[in-house]
Amino acid sequence: MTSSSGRRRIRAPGVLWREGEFGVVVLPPGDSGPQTLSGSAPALWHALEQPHTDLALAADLAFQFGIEAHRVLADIAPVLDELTACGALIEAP
Amino acid sequence: MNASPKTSSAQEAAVAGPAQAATRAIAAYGLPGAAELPTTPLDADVWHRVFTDATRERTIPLLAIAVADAGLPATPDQKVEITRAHEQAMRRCLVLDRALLETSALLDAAGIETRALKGSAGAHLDYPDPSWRAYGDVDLLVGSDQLDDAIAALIAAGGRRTVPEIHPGFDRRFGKGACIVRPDAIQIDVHRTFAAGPFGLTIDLSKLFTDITPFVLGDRMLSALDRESRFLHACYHAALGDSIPRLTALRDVAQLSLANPLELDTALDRARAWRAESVVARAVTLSWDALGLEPSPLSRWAGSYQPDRFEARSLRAYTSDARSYATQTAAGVAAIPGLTAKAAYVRALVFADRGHVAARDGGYTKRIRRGWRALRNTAGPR
Repeated sequence: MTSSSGRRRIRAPGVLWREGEFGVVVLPPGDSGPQTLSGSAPALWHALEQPHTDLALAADLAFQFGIEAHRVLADIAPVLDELTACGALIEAP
Repeated sequence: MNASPKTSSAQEAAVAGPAQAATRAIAAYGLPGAAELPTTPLDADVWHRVFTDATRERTIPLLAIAVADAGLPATPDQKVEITRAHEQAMRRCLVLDRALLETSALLDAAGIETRALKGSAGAHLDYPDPSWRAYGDVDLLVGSDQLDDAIAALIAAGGRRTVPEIHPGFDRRFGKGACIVRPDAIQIDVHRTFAAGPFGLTIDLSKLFTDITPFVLGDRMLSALDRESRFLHACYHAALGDSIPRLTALRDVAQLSLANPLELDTALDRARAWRAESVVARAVTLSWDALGLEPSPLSRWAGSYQPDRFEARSLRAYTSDARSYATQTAAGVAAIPGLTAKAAYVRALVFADRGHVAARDGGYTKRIRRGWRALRNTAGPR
């Protein structure tokens, strides 16, 4: 797993996005195509307006959705890695 | 067995009436004075018609938001269909927003000042959220003196001009602008003014660069027109654009005049100075009629406005059955000040370049016939 629960991530500055009942559509800068975040991922996207460690993000979502934090972390880690790989998220200083 | 004509006509009426009422109420959704939406889910046939109309009229976002807000009750299948369509529309808008950012950065690097028009600018500045407005291309305004450079820069970046210039120097002096298609098939409309023909020639274009509203897109600050000029541009687009304007164009007119405070006196003073009050009156009347809105001071003014001779004659070029690019261009002669400039305009039309003639008219003979018809239509009844 490439995700590191200690590093802080935040939305990339140039990322474009729209929200609706479908969730959140995200278009990172560069050549990537749009990606749709559905289910609980829009909550994750909103939280990432500010820098968060993966652990803090998981704890926050666990509180919101009433699920155990370690289960949330396992669910969101691949999403966070994918969004980072496509340029929608960056590591916060 | 086929249904009898009487039965099928009754069935059609049973679908068309409710679908038309729902389509109109959806196009006005969220505006003060909008008609009420149905209180139960639409029948499958009516829904199908409403969904098809919303796709054509680019009002899918309004339908989706009406359903999401429970303003329009919907079946689970209908919710799935409209949510998916809204998602697809927004994915497309994001791609267009990225193209807008790339294009404005490209032109900025070439020292060309731009203003974002219509779609993205309107979605971000004039609606409660950008997800309320869908659009299909990128529209930018550039100054007359930089139009040629802007077109050259976009072509150098791989773009293709859809219709060649009518005559060298015509666009920057008299034209509406040019349409450039990028290698990825995204259309960039580079505007010099709001319309071809007479109403595009009477606008004080310098005003469009001095009075602006900034907005943030991605990590860049872009410039749009100020609110009053955005309203006027929406009116030009709705009143003079397509022969039957899209509901989304009519919604823009109502949105800009009803949803947020508009300096109406400023907007109408500007329209008067541009000899275009009749354009505003027509756009407002079309909008209020199509969206079924309650009368307002603006709609009452529009309903009673009497165009002067120049406006009446110019409007015919855009609104009569004979409307065409040729008719509008021919009607433009009256709007050009000075005999020398009029002569230059007419000379460019008569001695049009071969590439333009081939693309626009299909040959010189057809062009001459079309030009003669346009002149006759422009003259109108005596």
